[in-house]
Amino acid sequence: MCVITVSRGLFSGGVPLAKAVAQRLGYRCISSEVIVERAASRGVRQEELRAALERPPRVLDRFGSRRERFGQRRYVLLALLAEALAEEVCEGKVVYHGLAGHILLEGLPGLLRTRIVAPMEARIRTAQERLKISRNEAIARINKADSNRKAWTRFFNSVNWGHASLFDLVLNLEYISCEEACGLVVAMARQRMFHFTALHLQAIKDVVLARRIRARLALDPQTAVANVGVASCQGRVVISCNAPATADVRRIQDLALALPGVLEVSLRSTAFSGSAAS
Amino acid sequence: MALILISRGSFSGGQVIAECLGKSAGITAVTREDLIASVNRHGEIANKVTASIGKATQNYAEFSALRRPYQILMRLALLEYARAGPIAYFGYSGHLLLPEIDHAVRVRIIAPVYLRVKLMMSREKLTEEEARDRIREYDENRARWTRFMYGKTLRDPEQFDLCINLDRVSFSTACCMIQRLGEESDFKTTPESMVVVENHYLATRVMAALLTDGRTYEMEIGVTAQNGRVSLEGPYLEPSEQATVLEIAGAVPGVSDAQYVEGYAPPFGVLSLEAAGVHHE
Repeated sequence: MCVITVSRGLFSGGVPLAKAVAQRLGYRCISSEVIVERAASRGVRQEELRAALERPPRVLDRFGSRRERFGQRRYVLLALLAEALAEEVCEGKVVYHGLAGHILLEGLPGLLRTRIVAPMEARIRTAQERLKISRNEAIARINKADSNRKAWTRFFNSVNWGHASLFDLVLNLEYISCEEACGLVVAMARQRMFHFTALHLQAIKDVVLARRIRARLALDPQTAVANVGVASCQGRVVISCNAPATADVRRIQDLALALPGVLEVSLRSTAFSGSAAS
Repeated sequence: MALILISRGSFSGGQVIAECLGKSAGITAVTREDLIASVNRHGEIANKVTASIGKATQNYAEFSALRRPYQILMRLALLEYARAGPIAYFGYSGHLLLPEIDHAVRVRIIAPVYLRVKLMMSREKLTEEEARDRIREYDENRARWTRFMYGKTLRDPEQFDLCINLDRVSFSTACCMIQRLGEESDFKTTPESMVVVENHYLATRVMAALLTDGRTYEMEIGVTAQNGRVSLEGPYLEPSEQATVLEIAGAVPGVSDAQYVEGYAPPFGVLSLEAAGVHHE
C-alpha cells in the first residue's frame, strides 16, 4: 500500500485517472475538499481554506515582516491544510488529486508522486464540453489556473511547477489513454519502493507529528509569526526557526511538548545561540 | 516493432536501461554515435556536415547553414534503424528528430544529480567536485544544442509521453515501464504505422539524395512521399535545374513518380503530416 498524489492542470484528465487508479487498487480517492473539511474542524471557515488553496501564496509572504502584515493568515491556513492532508493519508491506500499534494506531503515514505499533462487543445475542448463556455473563456480559465499553480510551486521550490524532477512519474495523455495511464501508475505503485512497511510506520508518524506541530504553532498568536520548519525523528523534534526577537521561544517549546508523541524539542535558529533542548 | 526514443542527460543510467531493454525485450540500443557512423556512409558532404556541426555551436551562422542537412541525415539514419527492427534510441533529442509516428514512444529519464555524480566518478575516475562540474557543463551544452537545433527546451515534460525520475525508481522498474508502454495498444506497431515510417523514410531519402549531391546541395526543397509517389516543393527553378532535381529524386530506390511544384518548402520538422498518412483523432 502507498499514497499516490496526482498533480494535474485544470481539465488535463487527472481526476478520471485518479479515480480509475483508486478503483483498480482498492484505495480511497480524495480531493482537496476532504482536507478542507478536516482542516475546518480546527475552527476555520471552509471558504477561507479553499481560497488559500486556490490563491497562491506570494514569494514575499515567506519573509517575516511581510508575512506578519499580509501573509500571516494564509500561512496559518496552509499549515492546517498540510496537517489535515498528512492525517488523512497516514494509513496509506489513498489517491489524492487535489492541489499541491506532492508539496504538502514532502518527505512522506511510500509517496508516489505522479503528474498528468495533456495538450492545451485537448484541455480547451474538455473545458468547453463540461462548462459549456466559449473557447476564449476556456483558455482564460486554464491559463489562470496554470498561473496560480506555478506560483504555488515557486513559493515552495526554486524549480517550475510541472518540472518533471518534482515527480516520480509524468504521463502525457496526448497519445496514452486513461486506461493505459492507469495501468502504468498501478504498476509503479506496486513496486517495493512505494510500499509502506513496518519500518515506515514510525517515519510516517513523524511526518504527521511534524505537520501537527507546525499547525499548532501557526494557530497560536504568540508563535504564529515564527517562520518554522519542523522535523521529527521518533518523537524527537527539531524546530528550525528564524523568529524575530519578540517571538516567545519558551512558548514554541511548550506548545510542541504538549502534543502527544513529542518526547523532546530542540530549537535551531540564528536567533538563538546554539540549540536549546528541553 | 518498438520504436522508443529516450532522452536523458549524460550519466543518467541510459546504458543500464539499454542493457535491460535488450535482455528483456530484444530491443537494440542505438546511440548518437551509431547514427553518425550511418550518416558518414552517405559520402563526402555528409562527412563534412557531421564533422563540422559539433564545433559550429560557437558560430551561429555556420550552425544555421548546417542545421537542415544535419537533421535530414540524422533522421534518415534513425529511420533506417527503425525499419530494421525494434530499437531504443538513446540521445537527448531523438523525439525531436523524427516526425510523428504512431508507435514511437517518447521517454525522458531524469536522474538526480547525486546519482549522476556517483556514476561519473566511478566510470571516469574523477573526484566528486570534478564530476559535478563536468555534469553541469554537459547539461549546459546539451540545452544549448537543443535550443539551437530545434528551438526547444528539454525540460518541458509535454514533449514526452512518459518521464521517469530515477530518484526513487530503480533501473529495472524504469525499464519495465518503458517496455510496457512500447508493447501496449496505444503504441503498438501496426501495418498502418509502418506505412507512415516507410513514407517518411522515402521522403527523407530523397531529401538526403538532394543535399548530398553538389548540384542541389543548396536548394531547400521539402519532400513528402506516399506509396512511392514523391512530391517536391521548393523555390522557382530553371527547367534544367528542375530536371536535375527530378532526376536525382527519381533515381532513389522506391520512387515510382516524382513531381516538382513551386512553392514554400516548409521548415524541416513541419512536413505535412496528412501527406505522410498521419491522422490523429
